[in-house]
Amino acid sequence: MTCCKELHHQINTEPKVFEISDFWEEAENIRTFVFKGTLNSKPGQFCMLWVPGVDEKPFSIARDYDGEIWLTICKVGPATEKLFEMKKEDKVGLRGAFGHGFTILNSALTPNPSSKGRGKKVILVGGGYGTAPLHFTATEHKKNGCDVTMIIGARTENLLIWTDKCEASGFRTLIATNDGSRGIEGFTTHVLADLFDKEGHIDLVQTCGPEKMMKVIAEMCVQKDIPCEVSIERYMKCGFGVCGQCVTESGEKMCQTGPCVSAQKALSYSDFGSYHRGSEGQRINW
Amino acid sequence: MANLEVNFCGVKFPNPLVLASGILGVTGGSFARTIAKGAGGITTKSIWKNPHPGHHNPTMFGNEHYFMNAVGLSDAGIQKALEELGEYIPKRKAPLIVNIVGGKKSDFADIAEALNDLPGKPDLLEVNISCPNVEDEFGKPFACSIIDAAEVTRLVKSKTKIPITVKLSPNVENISSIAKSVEDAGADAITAINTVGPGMRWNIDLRTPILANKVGGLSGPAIFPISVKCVYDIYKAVKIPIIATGGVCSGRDALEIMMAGGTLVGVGTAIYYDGDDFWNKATSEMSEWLKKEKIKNISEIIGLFHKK
Repeated sequence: MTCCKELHHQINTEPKVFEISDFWEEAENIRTFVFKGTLNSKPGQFCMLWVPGVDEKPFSIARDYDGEIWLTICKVGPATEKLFEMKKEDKVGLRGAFGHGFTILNSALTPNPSSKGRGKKVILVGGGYGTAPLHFTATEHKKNGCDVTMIIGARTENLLIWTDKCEASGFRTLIATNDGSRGIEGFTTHVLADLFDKEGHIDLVQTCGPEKMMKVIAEMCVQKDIPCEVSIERYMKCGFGVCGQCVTESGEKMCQTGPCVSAQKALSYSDFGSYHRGSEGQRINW
Repeated sequence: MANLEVNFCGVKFPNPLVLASGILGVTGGSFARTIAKGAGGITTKSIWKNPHPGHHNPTMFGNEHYFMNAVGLSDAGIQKALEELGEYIPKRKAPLIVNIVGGKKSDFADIAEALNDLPGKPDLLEVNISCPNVEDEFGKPFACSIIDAAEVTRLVKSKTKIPITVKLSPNVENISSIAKSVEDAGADAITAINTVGPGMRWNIDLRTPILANKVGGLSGPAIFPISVKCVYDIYKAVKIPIIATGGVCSGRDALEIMMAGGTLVGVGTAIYYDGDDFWNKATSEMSEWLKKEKIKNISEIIGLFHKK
């Protein structure tokens, strides 16, 4: 038996218990939960949150540093409904971090010549609650001296999340709402197109949000030859490459190869931007 | 280079290692990728007659010794499966084993019959009468009774011309007698074994069972000795070939269980430990061992332990 000596990932995937140490509302039905500790995660990775006796679901990690893990969660079903009833010091299970996160640039190594000493230019585009993991990503870029712009979009103002935190963290923050209730009236992709016209060399675009939005962004970046990464959400049942629920049509496991992949890779998946699969493997159109 | 090709019920497999049922078996894309990574064949996850939601999470976890699962055989049902398989079968580059399951005996026959409508035929049907995680729906698995196991076998055989392999449970008093009963009922092959148990694990801080289903089947390195014993016993009892599965984690494990009596070797939990790299790593290990032992064809080692 040789396998045990050659494991290439976490050997033990039993959930670990964490207490809810704090939580607050981000928007209607969207709450950030804080747990003391770390999952040693990288931005863009995800974890499985187990609400004992109900269910366990995947969530992207909104923060994992300074001894705290933050998960920004939307109330959508039985597990999150139960979670929203929980109080401080109530216990849940976490496992992970799983998956492949976003690339973090380092300006010290090769600065962007057009950024006048402000470091490599990174644009992060968040749609809806996709913004939460991008703040974590932006923070790591900024630590490495990058010049970070956040584009945050939602249907309407009261669905916008994390805008204040992005501004407070010193990221240039641009906002778009479909109804124009805050920021420009329109889509994040309009803001991005505008930046493409006005800015000089852009080193990296990263996006997390609705898949149709990400597909447009991926296509825009490929056309302009700008490096781009997207975070692909699929039905993650196990989180560690066994169940096969999260595979793309090409058979790539989004819980391991993804969720963060290059725009080129994402566009090569025939299902990207068109459909995903449900709990029984059935196709569901986006 | 040793020849790793094996013939199983008249179907040629490029190597004996097949993806076991329940692992990665959701889409044609997954199957094609697994074959490209070096698997000799694919077994689909269990297909039900009607959509079947399976259990809530957590459905699985593992550690260095073993893996536990209670997925509950989630599946979108035969109609969706026909669409998925209809697209994949004509393009397949290695044999496909379709695993079927039912709550009632007649369900197995109905699914087998529905598969006859496919434009291309699967290479084998694997009849899952032994899942330990669906007991609540049909009492004890059919694999626990000589009479039930044989009856399901006869029903499926009456509806299909595709060779069938019946997947047995280790959780019985005498697996050889069950194997003999399905052989007598017309099975073309045996798959042994399904997961062991079921077992149970709790989280002491939460006072909660880890698996949402409370209990789950045990797989992985810890059950390998049980698989070897079951395959050894079945080989002695029947003449039909065996898909040997349960805790195989390396090329050497595969060779051992083939010598105990397996013609094909099902691989599941090893994917948890090694990912897609498992296939080429294991087949290389097998080739090297055969070369060192001056054995030209891997089929020469099947049942070798019984020849001494």
